[in-house]
Amino acid sequence: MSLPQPQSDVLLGVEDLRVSFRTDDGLVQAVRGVSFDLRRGETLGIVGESGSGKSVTNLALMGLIPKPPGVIEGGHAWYEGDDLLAMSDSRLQKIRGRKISMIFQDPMTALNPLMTVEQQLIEMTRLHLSLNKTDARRRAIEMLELVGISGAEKRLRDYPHQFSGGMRQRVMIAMALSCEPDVLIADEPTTALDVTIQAQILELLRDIQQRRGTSIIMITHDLGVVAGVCDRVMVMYAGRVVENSDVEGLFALPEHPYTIGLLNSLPRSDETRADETRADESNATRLNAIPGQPPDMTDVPSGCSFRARCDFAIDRCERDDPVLVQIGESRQSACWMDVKAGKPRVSEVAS
Amino acid sequence: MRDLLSYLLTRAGWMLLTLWAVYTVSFVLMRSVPGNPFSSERSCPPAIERQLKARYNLDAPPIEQYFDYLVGIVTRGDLGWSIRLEDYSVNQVLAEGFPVSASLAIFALVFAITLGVSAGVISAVYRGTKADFAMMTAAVMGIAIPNFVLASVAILLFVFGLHWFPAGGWGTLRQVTLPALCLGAPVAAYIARLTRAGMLEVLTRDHVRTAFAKGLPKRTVILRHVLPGALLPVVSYLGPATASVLTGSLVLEKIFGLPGMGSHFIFAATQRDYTLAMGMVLTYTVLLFVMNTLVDVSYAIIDPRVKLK
Amino acid sequence: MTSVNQRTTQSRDELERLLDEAKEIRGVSLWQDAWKRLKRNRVAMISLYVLVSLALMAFLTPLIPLQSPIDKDLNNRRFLPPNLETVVLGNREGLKFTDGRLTAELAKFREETLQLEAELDATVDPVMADKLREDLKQRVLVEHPFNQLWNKLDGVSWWLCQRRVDLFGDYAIPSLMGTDKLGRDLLSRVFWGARVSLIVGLVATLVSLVIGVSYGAIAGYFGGRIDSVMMRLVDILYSVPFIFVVIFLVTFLGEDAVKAWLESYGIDQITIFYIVIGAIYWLTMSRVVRGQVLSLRQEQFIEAAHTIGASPMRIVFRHLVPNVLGIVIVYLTLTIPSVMLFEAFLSFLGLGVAPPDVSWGLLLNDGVEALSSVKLFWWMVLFPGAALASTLFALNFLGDGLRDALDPRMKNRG
Repeated sequence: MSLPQPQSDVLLGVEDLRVSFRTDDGLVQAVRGVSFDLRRGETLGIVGESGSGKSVTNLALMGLIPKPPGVIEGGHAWYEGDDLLAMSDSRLQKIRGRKISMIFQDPMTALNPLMTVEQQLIEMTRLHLSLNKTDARRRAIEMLELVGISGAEKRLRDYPHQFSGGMRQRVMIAMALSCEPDVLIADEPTTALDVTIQAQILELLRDIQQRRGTSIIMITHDLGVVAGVCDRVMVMYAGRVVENSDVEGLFALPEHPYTIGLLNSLPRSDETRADETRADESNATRLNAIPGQPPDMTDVPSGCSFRARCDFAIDRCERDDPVLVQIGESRQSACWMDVKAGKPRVSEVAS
Repeated sequence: MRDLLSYLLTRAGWMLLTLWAVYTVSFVLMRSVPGNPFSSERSCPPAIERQLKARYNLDAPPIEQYFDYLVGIVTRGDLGWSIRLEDYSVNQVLAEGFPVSASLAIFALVFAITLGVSAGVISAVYRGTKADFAMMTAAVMGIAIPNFVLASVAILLFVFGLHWFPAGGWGTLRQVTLPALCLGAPVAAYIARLTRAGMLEVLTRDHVRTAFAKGLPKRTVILRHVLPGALLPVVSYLGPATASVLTGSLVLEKIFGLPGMGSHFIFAATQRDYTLAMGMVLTYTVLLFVMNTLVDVSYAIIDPRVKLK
Repeated sequence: MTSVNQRTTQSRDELERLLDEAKEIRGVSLWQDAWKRLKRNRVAMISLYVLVSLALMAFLTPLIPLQSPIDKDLNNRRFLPPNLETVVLGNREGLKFTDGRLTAELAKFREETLQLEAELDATVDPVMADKLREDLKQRVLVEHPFNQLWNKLDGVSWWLCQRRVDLFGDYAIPSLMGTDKLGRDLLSRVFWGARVSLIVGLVATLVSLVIGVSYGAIAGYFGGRIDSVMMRLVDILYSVPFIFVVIFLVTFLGEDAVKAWLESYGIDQITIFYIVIGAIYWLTMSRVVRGQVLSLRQEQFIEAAHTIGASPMRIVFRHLVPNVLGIVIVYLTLTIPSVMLFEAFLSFLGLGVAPPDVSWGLLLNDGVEALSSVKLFWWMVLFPGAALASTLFALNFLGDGLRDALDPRMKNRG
């Protein structure tokens, strides 16, 4: 699959990214040819279970894959006409945090426990925006207020352990946004938080995006989060993109058997929440975990990596690895079967 | 501030208690040596023996001696008379030896920390390279070779072979250097290993990834975000390191013929000079307590999560 | 009532059995996994082989055809550099062995004792018989050739020595490592010294292990008040300059009168040595174990043991201690080197192992004394030093390897 020349509204174009890790047990192919576009101002959700390669994809964009053991085997990540993957370290440093910044899953460990919040906030703006100490400090206060931390001036002197989990994630967000980046990569930003706090953080992210027009990549395994904040969704399985769709379409008519499985394994999705009674009676049928395990990534079998767990698998799935094909206006799926029609798909070429 | 003060007071209290315990045990041991400290020597004229006994307060009942001695230590800081070094009080011996030992120990520690931390950081940053391998091999050697062997070989090589350092004596920098290096070497080796392990550990932490994601240059990340955390185990080790330097100085002072506390202590121990030995043990206890307290305070300064108690 | 009790005991036993089984499953896989990882670590495996063969050789030293470690030859063999000259056991003139050979002397000695025994059998008078028996014992003690060539052989070593004579006769390995200032063969002294050094390291470490593990496990298990009091004590003890206290103690215990008093209770100096060293090194062990136990205490299988009413002691020693074994083994391999170094250190100061016993520390001390700018008797430092250093190397590397193997988080690192 080849992408057309990046259109004007495409901010970040990832092509055929491949990442592996050398371990004692062999070469783990964590990401096996992932491509996607991120448009200006949109929120792209990346969904998949642990080990599906969603975090590794984004760490690779940021140049944060530890090497060794990690190896970028191939691919491009076009940003402002440059390939992030081919860039020198010093140039990448100027983009990290300045143009593309990232927040992480566990706010408990993502902040340096030995430095005050102030030190951690100002070192970024001082570096990237060349602010002096006073300005950087003022900026830090501003950012903390933006993310809704009260008494910001006083709290600057505090250490991370003096904040609650939700507050820490707010500090992380303040930090990530302090240089007004174009792209914010949020790697499971709410997974480690309580449900009420989760909602607050998501609300905050949505609010900030509306105000600033930042593009967000939201990595999550929680389809509820996707439904809540994302414009588009990319479903990953075993290091590949299996489905790429707008949010409404995905929830209404999931294409790929894995996506269908994911939706079925939800206790209730946002649509059913409104309809309590239906959710109650359908719980028994809806709560279906996908049977089986993801494949061993050191030795990915040929053919479709999902076929062992797939209800719709056909002979072809064993031979050929399905490619991502265009199946609708804004939808792509990587499956040999047209599940809805219940028959094999005729080869179509993705545009 | 209040915390710090109350912490220091508590520590001081514990120190006094420990000193008292050490004193009591030493005293009991001292008094339970059969006969009196002079019994092994040739019999001396009764007049002199009386004089000696009066000087060491040996005629009084043991309980009274115990308290007299204790009162002397507490009120006047008087540790009594050396048994073997005639006309020397323990305090005099300590006053002579302390500056020598203290400067030797400080030089050794400074050297050990500087070398150990730099080697550990370089090793960790360039993990898996030849430099890493060479340094860690050197570190294991530093730990595995007894320092008296190291010192003897060093003397042979640098003093007699290359004439880089003077053969003995004390006072100038050139004279301090070689013993301090030999004394600090095993500690440096240990610190290097601790630093390297600490660095590698901290490098995998999430907040370091955050620091990289912020776009900080590698150098800044290493120095500002990794090193402080990696040094925490090193800081904890400084207490035992001090103990190990003090211990090592016993040997080093003997080999280099330095007039420090260590050689006096060995003399006291081998010559059964119990008052001197006890005075030394008490002094070393104070030193170690002070050092450990300093270590705890600095740990709490580096790591705000730690509360002094 | 009793039947209820019985039933609860029964079901308790049943549950305990299940619990043990469950743990067994986890334990086996953990250890197998660790072993698999260790085997991949070449340095650690080489170290392991080195240590195992070292221990074997130390144990079998009497069987190896070495020269005498204590027989002095001040006239002809002082400070001989390493050489390949053949040596016949027992040919030194001063020994006055028959034919200058150990085997001949042994044969003669046997003949003489046989004669005495025959005499003993023939004697009817009990007083006379007792006297003869006493004579015989004395002869063996003083004049047996073994007692002139070796120092206080214990039963097993004596037997091994006899096998060695059966096997190799009078042959002895040349002085490959040279000789010392009293003309004793360094090679055999290094071998015999290994026995003492290793035993000191091992036993003292075991002593520290027992104290440290029990102390740490109890503090960690009970937690709260007990824990804080016990750990406060450890904190305080950290600030006591133990090594000085030990030297003080060793001096005190070395007083002739004290020594005699202790010996009347059957405690010799080397035993005290073990205990005293062990008593210093338990502090860190107890901290490490306590930390582990503290976190393990939260785990489910401990709670399960609680629920079925296992006693605290049982939980500590059956369930907790086995689970901290990994870290304990790692720490063990790192404590043995420090104890061995400490032994060397004390021997250097003249406070450790005393002649005619040999240890590596003592040999090194001799070697350092022989180092001078005038004449380089390098072999006297090099060989004992290399022996000690390589043992400590191996222990350190093995310890590191074990730590990595038992802690998968460390995988893929350094």
